Amino acid sequence: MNIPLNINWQQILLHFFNFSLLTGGLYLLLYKPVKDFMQKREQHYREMDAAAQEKERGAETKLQSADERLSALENELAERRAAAAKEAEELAARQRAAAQAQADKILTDARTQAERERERIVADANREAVAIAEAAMDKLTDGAYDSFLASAEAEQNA
Amino acid sequence: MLPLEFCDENTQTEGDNKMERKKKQRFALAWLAVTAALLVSSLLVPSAGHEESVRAMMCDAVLHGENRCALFGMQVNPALISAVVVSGTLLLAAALIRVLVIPRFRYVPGRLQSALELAVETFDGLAKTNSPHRNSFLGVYAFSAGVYIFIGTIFELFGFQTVTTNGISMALPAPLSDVNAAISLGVLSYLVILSGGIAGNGLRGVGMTLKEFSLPLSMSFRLFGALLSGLLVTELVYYYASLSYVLPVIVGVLFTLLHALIQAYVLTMLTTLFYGEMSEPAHPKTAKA
Repeated sequence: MNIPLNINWQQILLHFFNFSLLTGGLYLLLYKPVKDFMQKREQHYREMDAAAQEKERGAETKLQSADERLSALENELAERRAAAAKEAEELAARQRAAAQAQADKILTDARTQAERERERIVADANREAVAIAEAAMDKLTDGAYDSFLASAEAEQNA
Repeated sequence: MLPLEFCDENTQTEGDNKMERKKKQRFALAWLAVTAALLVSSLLVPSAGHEESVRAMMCDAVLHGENRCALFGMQVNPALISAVVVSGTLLLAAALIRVLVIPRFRYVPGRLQSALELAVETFDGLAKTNSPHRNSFLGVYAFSAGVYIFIGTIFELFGFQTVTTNGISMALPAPLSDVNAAISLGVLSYLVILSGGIAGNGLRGVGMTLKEFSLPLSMSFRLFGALLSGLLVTELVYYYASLSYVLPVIVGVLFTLLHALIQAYVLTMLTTLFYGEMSEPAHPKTAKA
């Protein structure tokens, strides 16, 4: 059969054969090794990336833990500060109360002392007044009583 | 005032620049002299004359009816010799690269490694993009077809000579400028697409692929036409001695490089695209409301 354009089945098959040989050869010698290497490199960088991400996650966890600890410490510090302030306030209140009690006691003692002093002074004054009165009485009655007594005795005798 | 060391460095750099300029001038002069000598000698030496008319030459470039070569006892078109040479060269280069270059691949690639990776990645990416469901074999096929078309097309630039059975010396053409080679690659691409259809959809895939019955024809003749046009223009240009100066730089080199790239891209793109379409699993039909 005369095919136009000088198409030749044998040569088409030879081209097929040639190209399939080339495809197989290029696959084994070039395509596969290069692709394998690229996959290996991709895997390597993926692993590096995963390791870096893992490290980042670890660092983030550590940072979070440190933050939590810092926050706990700050809370504890605030609590302790509040407790100390409260304690100081209580101490101050206790001291104020003690000082007040002491002041009250001093005042009471002073009042008692003053009262006692006043009573003593009054008693002394009374005694002195009685003594003055007795002395005055003595002075007034000195002789008159004796005269009275003598006149009384005289009457009796009489 | 500039420091003394800086002045010394500056003077040295200027001196180096002068030396470099002188070297370039000397090279340019030598190159011009050699080119002029070649031009003069090509004009002085008498031409052997044309053994065949331009019509016969063009006709033979298309049909390969007269100028045939011997290969293992068979009379074949010169393009088959070109195909064997290109394949042999590619396989040899691949073997050398496999033995000498690939074991020295580094994670941070050099120029050659980058070029190799780019070639593999381009065709692999083309296969993956156009055929996301099934692409492992397609990548290999696209890679070898792309490399074969590209290298085979620029092969004609080298002008390797062969002797025909008629005893005429002729430059080996691009393998795909032969209709038989173009048909074989077009049909093979169609068979690859068919295999994708079968692998992806079974008998339905065969039906889908057979519907595109014009594909092998269009692929074959697109390749043949593109490569043949390049060959004819080159043959025409070189047929006349007066056209053989300066013009081949544009016509021969730039056009060849351009259509080598375009044809490699077009065939691999079409094959991957159709392969992806045929191998795509059928979606279940949604019930109509």
